[in-house]
Amino acid sequence: MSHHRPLMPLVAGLLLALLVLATPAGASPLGPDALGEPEGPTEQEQEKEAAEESIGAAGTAVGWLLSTQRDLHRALTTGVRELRNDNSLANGAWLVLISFVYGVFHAAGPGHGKAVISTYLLTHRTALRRGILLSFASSLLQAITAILLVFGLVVVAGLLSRDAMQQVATVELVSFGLVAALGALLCLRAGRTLLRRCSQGHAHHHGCSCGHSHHVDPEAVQGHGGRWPVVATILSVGARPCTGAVLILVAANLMGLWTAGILAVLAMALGTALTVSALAVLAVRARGWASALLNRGGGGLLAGAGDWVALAGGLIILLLGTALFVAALGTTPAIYRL
Amino acid sequence: MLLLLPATALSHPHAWIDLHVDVDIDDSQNVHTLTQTWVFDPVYTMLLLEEYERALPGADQTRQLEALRDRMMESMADYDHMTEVRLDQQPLEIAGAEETRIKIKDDEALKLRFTLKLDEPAPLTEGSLSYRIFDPTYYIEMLHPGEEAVRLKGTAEDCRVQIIEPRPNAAHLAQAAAVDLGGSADGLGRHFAQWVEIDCSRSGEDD
Repeated sequence: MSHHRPLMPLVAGLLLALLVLATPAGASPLGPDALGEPEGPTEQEQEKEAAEESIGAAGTAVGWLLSTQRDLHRALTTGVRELRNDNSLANGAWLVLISFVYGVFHAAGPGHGKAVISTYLLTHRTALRRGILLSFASSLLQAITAILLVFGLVVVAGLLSRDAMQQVATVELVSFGLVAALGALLCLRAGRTLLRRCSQGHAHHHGCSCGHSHHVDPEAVQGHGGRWPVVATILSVGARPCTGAVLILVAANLMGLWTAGILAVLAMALGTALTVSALAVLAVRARGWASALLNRGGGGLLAGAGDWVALAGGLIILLLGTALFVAALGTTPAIYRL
Repeated sequence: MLLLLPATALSHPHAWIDLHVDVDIDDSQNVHTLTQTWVFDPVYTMLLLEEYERALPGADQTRQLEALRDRMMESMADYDHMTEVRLDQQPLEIAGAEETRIKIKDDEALKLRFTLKLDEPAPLTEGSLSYRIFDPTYYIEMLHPGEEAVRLKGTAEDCRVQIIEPRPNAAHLAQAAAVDLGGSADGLGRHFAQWVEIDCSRSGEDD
């Protein structure tokens, strides 16, 4: 058909490789089991995987990240205690600082927010500024979600803090559902564009995969798909409150120190936003680099290829959201209560 | 490449407990009991106190704590109180817990103390005794802060205590990261548990 065709798998492969690289811990949404097993640890598989994997470089990195996070988690807890014993400005500032650092690290670990954002940015042309805005807005929304959730459940509804923390799982489900919806939305948009190209493409001898578009459609100027997908991405990532934030707020509420709690959570969001932005910049740059490579291969090629890539990105996000949703449904609460 | 779902970062333990264990050894080098002290972290302590303040409003704190103690011990009874003991790599039966006490230190750290009884005395002359204490769901991280947290009571001059730190592999780490706040990950906790090994083999000829 088209002489550009052989490039397609290459493009897709390149982008997907970048995606995997950009998602720390190689936490890839592309695993064959992405739609399969909910996360009940099937022992044999775990062990087999363990044998094959042992601690690879990724594992060591994640191990280090997690142990640092653990130390920070402990520091948060003791920071809260210090503040309780002595509600001084110094202790408050310390808690805010720890929260900020926690936010930076928290975001460096594997997380669905980063996977969604980097997949989106890798597969949809986005201005750098917009990518950064996206990261900041999602992080801020996460903080707001946590604040509203704790306030609503503990203060307004009068739930026990412990039970309120359990409710986060429900909110999580909503967030995962939103991720799947975002994926579906992106697929639809990309599909529509492809179909449109297809019908226009009859004038050329190119088949449907990559028609030259002679007119500039307004959406293409902004990248793929205008404002909608960006808003949807922010919502789907931001709907999931961060556990550290919930913990701090719950504790702050018990101590009657809401102001300190809210400041700490906002600092945490800022830290998260910084890390996620760095990742976003990486993703946007990587995509630009891939486009440049392709454009050398033939003018106008990317217009069509870009839609296929956008479709792939939408599919990945859809699979990811669905898989997380299923996994979250499959988790059972602990039987005993300590 | 790991074929794992990316999910939430730091969802693994939401609380932590510092462990202190006294291993009681009799004159003939048998271990009968492990006396455990669990120190809960300050935030988790607050959460528990809130719960009992509400369940028994106005009751004095001692009564509230006792109710908490009873619930904890009861809900852990079917799980060997989170403890696994082995002699020379062979699992030992646990009879149950006794002498349970609870108190609160400086109004911020809840301390639960109980004596875990082995079904049959374990002879240290026949091999090393090892144990691990963990929450299977990994909701709570339970660790000995250092080797000094394990004390040998009785005639144990020649015994060596060693804490073997957990070495979870990448798969477990990613899975720990994926466990959500309200959920559980049965079977995950043991990959993050310390093994404590007590080896008295060199003292075997002194008897």
